[in-house]
Amino acid sequence: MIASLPRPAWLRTATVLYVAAFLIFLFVPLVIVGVFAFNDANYPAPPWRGTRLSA
Amino acid sequence: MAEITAATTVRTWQRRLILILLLAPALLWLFALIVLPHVQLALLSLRERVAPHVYKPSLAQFHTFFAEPLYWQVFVRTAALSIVATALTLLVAFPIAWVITKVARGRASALLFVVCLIPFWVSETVRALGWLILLRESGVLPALLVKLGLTAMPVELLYHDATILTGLVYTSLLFMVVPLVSSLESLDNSLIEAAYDLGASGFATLRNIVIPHAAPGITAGCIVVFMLTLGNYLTPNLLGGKNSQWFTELIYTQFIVRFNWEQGAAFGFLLLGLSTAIVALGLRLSGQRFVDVMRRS
Repeated sequence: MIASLPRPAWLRTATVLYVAAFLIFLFVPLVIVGVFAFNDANYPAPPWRGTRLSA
Repeated sequence: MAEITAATTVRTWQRRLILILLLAPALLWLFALIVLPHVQLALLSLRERVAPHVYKPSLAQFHTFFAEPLYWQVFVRTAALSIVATALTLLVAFPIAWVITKVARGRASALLFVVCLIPFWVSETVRALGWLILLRESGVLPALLVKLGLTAMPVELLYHDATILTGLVYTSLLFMVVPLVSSLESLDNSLIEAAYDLGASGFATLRNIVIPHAAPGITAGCIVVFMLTLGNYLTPNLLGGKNSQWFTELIYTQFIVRFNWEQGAAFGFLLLGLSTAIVALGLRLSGQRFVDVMRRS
């Protein structure tokens, strides 16, 4: 329900959880690409072999 | 008297000239880049090669489509998966649009909207690469599942229909959230408050007030997402691999691999016909008018 109406506690919790899950879904692939760009390997994939900045 | 009429004629003529000049870039664009290529493709699809450089008009390409089970089965599969992907996108995007417009206030609402837009500043290829690193057998998520003890061995999470659907929902979320936000924003809060005061349950309010008001926005979002999904090449191809069997891949194969432009053009027109038919059916079922819907999107 809208902000000006009383909302039960479970609905508030569910809203926060849903928004959090949505943002994780939205940003995990991007964060993963960003992080693995620094992996010291030929391919941007696990396992993690240390950080490298040069190509 | 004659002078006044002459002046008016000149003015109407000027106005008409201005209108034509202002419309010219758009009309040129439409004609040269959309109408002409389609005409050429239509001509291509309606001819058959009988010998090198010898063509005769025929419907052989369309006959091949119905004669080969693979072609029409992939066609039906693409349509069905696109409809499922559109429905899933609506289900995921509606609560977020609701939170942005009705629950969050002021800065929080604007911030959430911008945060929803940020992933779409990155190219679709990079986003698909993110999913590839996450889901492949040697990727992040299977390794995490093994570490948590849920699976004994890393499982291949790519190349399933569910993976394709996830990727399609991910790439089309923005195109659903934006029309939903604009249609929910115009819904007056006092209507929802009145429904609450009169004792309506949340579901009754949603069904009788929110959805009828937001219907043009919902339909606009669904049409855009469905078109993008049905015509998507990159996401099904990268996340589904050879298992994806998406119709756009068949078109690509005909044009680029087999160099059979006639067949590819026929497939293209069949896909165009399919999307037009499904959108028309959706509009008829939801009782919306195309003009109203397009004004909202």
